[in-house]
Amino acid sequence: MTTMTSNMPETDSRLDLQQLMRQKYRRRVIVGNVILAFVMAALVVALIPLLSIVISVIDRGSKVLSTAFLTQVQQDPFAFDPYAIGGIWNAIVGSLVMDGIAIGAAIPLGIFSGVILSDAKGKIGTTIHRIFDVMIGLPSILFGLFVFFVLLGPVFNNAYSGMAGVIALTLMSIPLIAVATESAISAVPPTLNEAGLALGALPSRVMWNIKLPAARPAILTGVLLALSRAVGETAPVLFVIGQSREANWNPAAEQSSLPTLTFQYLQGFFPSQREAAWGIALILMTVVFLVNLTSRIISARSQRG
Amino acid sequence: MEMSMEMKENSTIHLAPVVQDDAQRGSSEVAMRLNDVSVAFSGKTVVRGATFDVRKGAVTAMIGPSGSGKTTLLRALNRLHDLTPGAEVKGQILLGQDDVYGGGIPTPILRARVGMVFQRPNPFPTMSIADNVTSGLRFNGVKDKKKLEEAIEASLWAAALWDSVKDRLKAPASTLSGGEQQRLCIARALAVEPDVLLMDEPTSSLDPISTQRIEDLMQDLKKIVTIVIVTHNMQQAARVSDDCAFLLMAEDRAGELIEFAPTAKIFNDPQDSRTLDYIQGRFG
Amino acid sequence: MPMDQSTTSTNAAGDLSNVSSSPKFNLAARGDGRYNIAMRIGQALLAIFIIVFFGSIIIQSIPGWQSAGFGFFTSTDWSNADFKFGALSLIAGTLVTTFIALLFAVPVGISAALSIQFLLHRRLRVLFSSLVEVLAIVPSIVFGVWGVAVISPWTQHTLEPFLRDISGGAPPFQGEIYGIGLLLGGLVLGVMILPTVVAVSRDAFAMVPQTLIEGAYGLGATRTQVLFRVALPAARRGVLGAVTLGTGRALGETVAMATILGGVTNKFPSSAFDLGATLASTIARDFLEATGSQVGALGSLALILTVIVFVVNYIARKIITRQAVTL
Repeated sequence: MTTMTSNMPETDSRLDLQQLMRQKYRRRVIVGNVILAFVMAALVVALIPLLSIVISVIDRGSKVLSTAFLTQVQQDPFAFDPYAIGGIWNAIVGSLVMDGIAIGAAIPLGIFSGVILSDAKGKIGTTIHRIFDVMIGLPSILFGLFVFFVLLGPVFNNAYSGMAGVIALTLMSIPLIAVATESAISAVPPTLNEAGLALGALPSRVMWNIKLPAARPAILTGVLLALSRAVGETAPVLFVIGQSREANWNPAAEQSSLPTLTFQYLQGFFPSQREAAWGIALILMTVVFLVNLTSRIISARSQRG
Repeated sequence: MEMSMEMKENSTIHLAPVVQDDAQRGSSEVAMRLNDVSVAFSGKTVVRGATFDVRKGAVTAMIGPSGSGKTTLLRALNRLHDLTPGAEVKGQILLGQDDVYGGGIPTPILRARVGMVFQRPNPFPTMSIADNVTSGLRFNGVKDKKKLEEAIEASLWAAALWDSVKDRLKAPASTLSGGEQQRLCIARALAVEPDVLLMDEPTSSLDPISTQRIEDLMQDLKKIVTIVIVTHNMQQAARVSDDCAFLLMAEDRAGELIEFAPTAKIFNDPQDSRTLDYIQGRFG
Repeated sequence: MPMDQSTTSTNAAGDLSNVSSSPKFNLAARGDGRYNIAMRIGQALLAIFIIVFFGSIIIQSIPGWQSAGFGFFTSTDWSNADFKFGALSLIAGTLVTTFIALLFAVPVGISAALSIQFLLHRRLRVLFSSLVEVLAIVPSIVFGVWGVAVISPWTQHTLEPFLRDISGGAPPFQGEIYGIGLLLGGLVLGVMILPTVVAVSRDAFAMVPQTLIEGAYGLGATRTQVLFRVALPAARRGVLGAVTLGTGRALGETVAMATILGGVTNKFPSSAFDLGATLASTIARDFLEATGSQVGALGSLALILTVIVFVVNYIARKIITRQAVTL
């Protein structure tokens, strides 16, 4: 090993450079802080409309909500009684029935589709996977049009039916649940999979007994996301369920739903109808919020466990 | 360099190499002075009571088992703990005449004067090789084209990377191998001409050949910059360093400075029995 | 087996096939014939569903092409009642509202994501990121309710007069002010896609390796420099994906636009204040009353919409490969 005697030279260039950087410091700190102020201001700009929505929905919606509003069926106001709008019970029933059946059907179909996607190989398999990814983002009105064109004639005899809406919502939910399932399955550690196979388990057993249970919290999150989408969607059911003013527990009858009634009321003539729209908006937001809270609790628990 | 034979019976983990005493390594001028430095996270002390001088132009190594707070102490030197909420550094650290935590030097300027190389190479993935080298200068407001071009060549030379990258300076940094990326990070740190270069286990993610090249490089680098290196590898500390700080976790799980001395002394004639135990591989 | 080999394989299905190709596991795979057959059938069913779904959209658009011919893309006159099918105004309305939405949501959304991830205290970060994630799934009809009642008066009485005065009535801020024009539609769309843009780009920022950020600070970068010269470039794919995803949603938004926009379908927009309509809003408004060739023409609009949104979303999914996005 050689002996190193030279002291580090206190070069001019180093001192010059450090001097230069110190001179530049003030300016870049000022410029930086100005930019940071804009960035923080953008957060405020983003929050103003978003909070405005939340606050105005709570404020104006809560003024409409009453027991009568929730329990009576819809009425049409007329010139001599412009406030006779009745309630939204028919839409509540319609939403409960249709969303319930649609999600009930979409859960097994979506999870099965997710398993298929996770097993999909080759060109056709990846193409199907890609298209499912894209279908999540398609305008939901396309699912309504699909049901209208393909099923309403041959299956429903051209009559409006809650079941047609159920099918549209189910079809819309399947890709959501399927993609969530697939990504949850592929996130299961490969070692778990290999351990199962090494024990001589069949791939179907590994899927059913190891992968799906491990993926359950993430699948549940996907299901809840699909549920909150289905509850709030107007466009898929708009053309196929009709506008029932009666509360029908029969899903095959003409139906109403919370979002479609909102849509209808927004185009209504009477101010009382537009006020009622705020009430429904509050209910929709509350449901979405509760569903989201549930999925957060589930994923927090699964991370702890 | 020869291994001392009588150490062989407890050589399961490390052999303690004999280091030649060489009083001429480095100067006696002080680059950084640590005075009773402690670091705590959210009130929990992680390292405490570190007092020693970093000599100008020398390589100072911090060694010790994991959990002894060597990296934590290193990161106090360029105020990197400022990024961690709840972190608190006590005691005094001097860079030359300036108090690091005294408010006299703005933190960005301090960090330009006390450069750092990390455990894993971290070149900026969206920048070219040349842009990586000049990034520090550009952060610090140096925009002069000529200065930047000079810095590219000089820094890459100093990091022994110039010959292999001079024809592809515009290529993304991600096209380099791991060892080359780490030398690019060294070049990047050198470009702002720091007084001190901190190296946090700079070879821990590299293969033996790349490690060797960086160790060789350090011997050349200390002619232009003072180096403080954290390493878990005692042989590396013995090979590259002039002074050595040995840290150990105390009963309350906080790291403490056990011994600071010239490397030769730490490895040949440690004052503390715990240092001896460690370099003989009895624990760690 | 070296660790990195088992961890880099991202697709569990890929693993399965690797393992079962070894002789020992072939036995197991053969014994699992029913599962494999079920998977094959399932895959075929999914393929059939996709073909029928997109096939029907194409088929039901054919009458529209037949009745309108090439004028569908060149004429700006759309009038369902008069059987005039020129979709150019609607295509323009869709693009203009989406453009306004992006003009608002992209700079505001990315900056908001940067400040949530890097500038806020940890607690506020968790609070705000949860808030935007919830708002990203608020039903679009709620945005419609809000747009009509709260924002429309503001655009009519404050924003649009201000823009006209400050620009001296120069394009694109000219002409009559109604308050329910393309500008309102674009702004509501912008607010609507904002949570998606913020949430997805914040995710991307959260994945920027800490070592890069420390590396930049270690060279003397200020916080602003770390944000804009290191974090933003490193997360650019995720951010671009967020923007593309938001674009797809804005292009296809239906009921909010159908309630907000004035619904004038026969004028190519010359001002941001103009009344207008989008492809999706026109379908939603006119479909129930449509008969005969009107249905086919609306079907053609649906096909155009599908193609545009499909392409945009396809690009978004190609960009965002590492994040699992379900917003």
